[in-house]
Amino acid sequence: MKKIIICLAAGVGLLSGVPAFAQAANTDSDTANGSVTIIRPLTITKDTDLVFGRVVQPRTGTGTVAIANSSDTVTAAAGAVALAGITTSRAAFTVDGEGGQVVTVTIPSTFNLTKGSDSITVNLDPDVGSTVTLSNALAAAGSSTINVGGGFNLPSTQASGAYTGTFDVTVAYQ
Amino acid sequence: MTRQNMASGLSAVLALAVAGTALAPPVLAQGVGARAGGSVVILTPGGSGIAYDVLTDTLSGVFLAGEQGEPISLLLAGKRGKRGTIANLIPQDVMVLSTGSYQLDLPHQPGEGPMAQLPEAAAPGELLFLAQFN
Repeated sequence: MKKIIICLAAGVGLLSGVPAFAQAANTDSDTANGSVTIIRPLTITKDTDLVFGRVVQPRTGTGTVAIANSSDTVTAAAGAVALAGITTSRAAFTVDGEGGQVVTVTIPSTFNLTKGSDSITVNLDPDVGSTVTLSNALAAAGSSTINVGGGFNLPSTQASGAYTGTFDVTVAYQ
Repeated sequence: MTRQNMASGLSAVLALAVAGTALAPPVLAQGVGARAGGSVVILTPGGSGIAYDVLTDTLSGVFLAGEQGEPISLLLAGKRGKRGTIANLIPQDVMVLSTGSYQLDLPHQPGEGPMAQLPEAAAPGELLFLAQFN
């Protein structure tokens, strides 16, 4: 045991002397830069719902009902009739965040309007692709509007009544 | 603990640290979402018709079909003025359907002649019964 302690002490002394020689012989330095870009939190707000209003189903066959993403007017064809007198609208969302930033947009391709066990599948028609770029530039607030139209087939056998449903739109910074 | 065991343990710790650094998932931007509602009211097609007796030249009734609770504006263009004419028997106003199918009867009253008789000088095409589904 005594021998071991002596050996360790000698070893420590030897090791402690080495760095002094190394520093004196070879000293160098370099500089690293630090940076960060602070951006505003991203928010999305629903402005309007997708409201088709009142539609009369065709007596026979299958009609079509649609709202374009550029208009709030319902278009019905092939026997279906859209009635006036009620406010209709495409769905609209406002995205707010850091100006000039690219935002990924996720919108489902379809969603269901239901009334009890009855269902209508609506095909969604957004006016944006998978990404949008917020207005303005970095260091300023930016925003973008997402409009979502939609349409569905209306067979004469569809049960009458009020149908409702929901769909989610998600955005994220790239 | 022997020196060999200590070295082995240290290696294991270093290996885990390196592996953790290399396999850490990339940090993804957190998405935010909003929900929109969709709605539509599907109505059965509305319609109307008349029951006309060609033998007696009388109108015995009119029929309406639509949604229960639906308001309908009615208008009859024909003989007016005298009591008992068609114009007096059919409400020329807004009515609300109490059922999906509704009938307005125009009963013949004995002793007073055909109450819903068409105007004598009028051809069948001159009678207009209009039901507008509002």
